[in-house]
Amino acid sequence: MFYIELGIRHILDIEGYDHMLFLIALTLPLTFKEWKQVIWWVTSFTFGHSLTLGLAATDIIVVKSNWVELGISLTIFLTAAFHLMRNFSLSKAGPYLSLVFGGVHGLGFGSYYSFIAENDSFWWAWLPFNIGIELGQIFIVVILLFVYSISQKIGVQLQMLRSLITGVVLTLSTLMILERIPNELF
Amino acid sequence: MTCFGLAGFTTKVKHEFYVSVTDIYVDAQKAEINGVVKCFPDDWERAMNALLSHQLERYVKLDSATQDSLHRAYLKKHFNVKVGRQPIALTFSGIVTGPDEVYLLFEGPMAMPFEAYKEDWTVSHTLLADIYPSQENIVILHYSGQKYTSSCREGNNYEFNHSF
Repeated sequence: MFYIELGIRHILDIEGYDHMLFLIALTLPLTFKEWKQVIWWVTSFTFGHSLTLGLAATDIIVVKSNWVELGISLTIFLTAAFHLMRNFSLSKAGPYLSLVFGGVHGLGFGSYYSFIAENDSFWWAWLPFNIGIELGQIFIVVILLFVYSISQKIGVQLQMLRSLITGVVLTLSTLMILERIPNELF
Repeated sequence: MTCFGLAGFTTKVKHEFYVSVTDIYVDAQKAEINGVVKCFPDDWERAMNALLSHQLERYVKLDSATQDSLHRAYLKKHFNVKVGRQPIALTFSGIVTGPDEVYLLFEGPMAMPFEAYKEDWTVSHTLLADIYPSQENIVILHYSGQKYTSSCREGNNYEFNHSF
């Protein structure tokens, strides 16, 4: 139970809001009507995140943390831009995008997981930790979809709301990218 | 306009992880309670520097006896374990420093029969929380082949209870 809770807290940690920002970008074209896609997209993200988290924590994949941080910002920007260019229509590429970008996010957490879990049963803790991540993500996505749903009911145009949110996400992720460009590039 | 408004919003995601991992063993063979606290060397050094009375003093420059007295005092203040409401007199017994981790060893007497350690644990662990309020101290209790993992953090007032 502890690792499920830890996974949930990892996702809901407001100080690490880049994860939430990515979920906001990812679910831009979705509503409750597309609940099957919602589950599929979110689970793809968790799968990619879990896989690379395990590989990074066991040093099978080693990527410098500053490059991972840059990569995470790029995933947020590209996801929002992708949906904007498609005018927020559903894409079959959604789950694949989610899987690959989830993999980038998982790399950012490998060293932390390795630190906390090496004293415990590493793989035994890995599964509940990732279940916690999935539950935390579903919670955030349900809230987002509720916001879309309520906004529609009070007469807010969904496309307008999505465009506004995309503007916010693109601005924040652009600032993140600029801040996180590794020094090695200069 | 939204974009301009957001420009003042910090984009530095503070996802630095302030965490330690502590193993506590009930060692029937040695008739003692012992274990190890693992934390990050830079965090530990910062906590030790904060204990020094002079700002210009540095923990790493101190001799090992003075460092050990700091370790002992800090652990005593920030790490408390009770079983059946009886405090266990845990004392610092050594330090091992690696490139990425610091291991603080501790031990204490087993003052009650082994079976008494099955029930009513209270672990209070504020290590490094004085400098990082978001510090999470993960604790793994080991008793008779069983294991229980929890954590001391701001959300639970840095304390938890458990019975095996």
